[in-house]
Amino acid sequence: MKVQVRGLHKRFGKTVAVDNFTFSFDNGHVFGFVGPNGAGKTTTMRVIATLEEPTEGDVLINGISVREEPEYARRSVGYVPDSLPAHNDVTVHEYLDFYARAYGLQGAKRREAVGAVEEFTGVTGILDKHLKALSKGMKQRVTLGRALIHNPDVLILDEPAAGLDPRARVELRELLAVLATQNKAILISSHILTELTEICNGVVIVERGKLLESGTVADVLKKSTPHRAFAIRVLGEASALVKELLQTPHVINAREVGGEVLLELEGEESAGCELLSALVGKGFKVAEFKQSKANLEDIFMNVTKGGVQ
Amino acid sequence: MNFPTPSNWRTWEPNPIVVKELRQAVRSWAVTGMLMVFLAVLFFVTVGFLLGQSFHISPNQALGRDIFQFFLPVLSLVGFVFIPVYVGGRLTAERLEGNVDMLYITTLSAARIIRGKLLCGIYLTVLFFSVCAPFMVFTNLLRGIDLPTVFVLLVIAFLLSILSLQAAIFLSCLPASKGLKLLVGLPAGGFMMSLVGMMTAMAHELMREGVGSRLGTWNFWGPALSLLFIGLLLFGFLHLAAIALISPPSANRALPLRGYVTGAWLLTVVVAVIWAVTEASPWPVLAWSSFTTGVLVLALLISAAEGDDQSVRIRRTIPEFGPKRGLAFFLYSSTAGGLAWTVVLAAATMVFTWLVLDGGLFDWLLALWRAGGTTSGRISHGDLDNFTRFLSTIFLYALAYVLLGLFIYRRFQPHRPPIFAAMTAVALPALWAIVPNLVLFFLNKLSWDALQERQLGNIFNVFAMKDRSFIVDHQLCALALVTIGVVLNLRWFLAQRAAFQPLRRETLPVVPPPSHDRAPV
Repeated sequence: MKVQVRGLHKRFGKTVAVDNFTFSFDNGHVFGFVGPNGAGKTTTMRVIATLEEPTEGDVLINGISVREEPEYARRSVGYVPDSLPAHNDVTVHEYLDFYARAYGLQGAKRREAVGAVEEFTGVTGILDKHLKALSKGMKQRVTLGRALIHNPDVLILDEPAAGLDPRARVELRELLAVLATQNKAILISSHILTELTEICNGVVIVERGKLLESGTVADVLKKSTPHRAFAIRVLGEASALVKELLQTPHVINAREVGGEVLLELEGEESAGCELLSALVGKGFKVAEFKQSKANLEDIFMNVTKGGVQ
Repeated sequence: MNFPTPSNWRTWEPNPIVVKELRQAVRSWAVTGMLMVFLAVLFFVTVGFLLGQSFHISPNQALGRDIFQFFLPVLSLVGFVFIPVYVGGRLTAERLEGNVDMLYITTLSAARIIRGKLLCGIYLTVLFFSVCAPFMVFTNLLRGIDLPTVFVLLVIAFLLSILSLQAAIFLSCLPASKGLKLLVGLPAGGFMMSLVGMMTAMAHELMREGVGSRLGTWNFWGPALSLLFIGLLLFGFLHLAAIALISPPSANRALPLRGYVTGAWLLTVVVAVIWAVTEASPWPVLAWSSFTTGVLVLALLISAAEGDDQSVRIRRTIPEFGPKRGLAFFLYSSTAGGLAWTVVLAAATMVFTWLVLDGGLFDWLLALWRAGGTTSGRISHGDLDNFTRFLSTIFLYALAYVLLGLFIYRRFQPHRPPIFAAMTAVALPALWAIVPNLVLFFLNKLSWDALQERQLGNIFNVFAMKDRSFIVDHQLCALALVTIGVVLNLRWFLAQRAAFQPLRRETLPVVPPPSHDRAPV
């Protein structure tokens, strides 16, 4: 078990930034950490990265407590903050080399690690460029490289895609995809939920310092949207279909929207098949019958109330 | 990671901070520009003096000294001001930009970070000194200054540069905003500039008398070693304080500092007594107790700002064994322990000062030193009469205001950070000193005489009393205030003492991770 967040509380004076967060994620998991601004995402990530001490509760990384032994726990954690490096007069290579030294890598081992990270993050062409002169996307790659330099088991990424152009986002997503296959436990926060949908297999949803949902995307989806949604297009009058559907058992709701009939259906996946065959049996000319897949954005909108603190 | 030992010297690696900082310094226009300007100044000044000399008919027998007197302030300016400001400024900028956060999550310790910054500054200082040294030695060839004087002055300038550097690092570690740091930094910069003046004056004096002839005498080594001792103590304190300031709040930040101050206290007691006895004068002890009281008043405020919450990291290091735990209570980070430690040290300081000045200890030691010779009798003349009373009054007032500040903080503003208690402890005496005098001002009765009148509760009035007998009233007032403070805080203190226990493990819920799905990519 890589990361266990247990009953985590963090208060700043009277403000409760994190109120009893409990979740966990393991090797190979890419967990999306979503919530509006001020929900407690960055604070939680900083606690996991050992930069903040929790007011109550604890985080265990490979069984090591960040409260009791932060100096050991941080050896397993790579952290990419929401702010990018701003060192003056330092080149990309020197920056990565410095952090390799800071993590205690020595001699040939350090050179190997730096070389590998430079190659992986694709910064070999800009090694002699000064950090200040880099674009945001390139800085993000360098920051990711810094977080990976000591080959951590756990990666914490706070808004890594913020401010990146579409190409840089795609490249970042590809890098994360490779990292996920390397059996790392990854927690990533982002406001761009469609992007998370593509790379995450788990999600933690928070709002106003409270944890609303956590688990695999499928589980959370099941919990947040208990009914299956379908869209049907028939040749002919759609209103007759709506009438029929509203009399059909297990159909919760049906309405016509732009020539299509949208409905919600109770039951297992087979309920959809049964409905389709019943409709065809009753003479409806079904041109399209598709299940609408909910994504993280839908889950987020269903679960949260839009509050900020 | 391998720690450097003689056996693994092949794998020794320099401090990463030093490597990074030096790389940055090499590229920095500030450093390279200053080095070029520095070299140019040295070169053109030398050429200027030599050309000027060529127009004189009689040779200047002290030309070397004249040039040296010009070089030294330039070197001092770089060593005391430029390098400390450069290193301190970089650290401040890194802290403000959040880059230091990234250092904290590496395996670098706070001590290594500070040591790295310091070492980088020392390298830069050595660089500038090595540029200047040939010019300075050259002055010896032009007469008017001997090589030992050049060497001694360079050593003094170098040591003061290191002290300034450490002070700058300490200031840049203060948890303050840019504006506040500038507010603190400006007087500090002014002090560093004044150090240049002092250095120049001292150099003038040493060159006038010549160091070479005095190197074998105690007249030289006595003050030199004393100043070195004081400088080393200050350096050590600033170094540990800087480390404590950048250590995470959950670390036991007070332990090394309190341990160091306690050790320094013991060491300085011995040095002050030896100095007093060899000089046959109580002034070293007076100076020691005054300075110690000042430090302890500061320690009271710092203790008040520490707060009650002890992190799990600290609690798991609290010893199980009773007496050890009792000692740990005084030294570990916490307000209650800090207050107890300060009060114990202050009481020891007062008792020791009283013993020396009024209790006959000084006479006895003096008699012992002179092997039965005549002594000066008890020291009870003029200025020394109320010295212990004066010091104890200052400390008691400070303690009383800190206790009141703590009570106000706990009772009315417990959600604010603990520094609120320290700020209240500063604000209370300030208000009490200002408000009555403001009233007098508006009643048109404020005068210098009025300020020197007895103003009980006003800690500043102790320094400006017209009548020395007021000190007794002040002492009684301070005692009364301390008693009130103790009564108000006793329950809290006892609760803190009782809560100072080793960590008992809590059982927290274990949450299994979701089923092991791979990323969908």
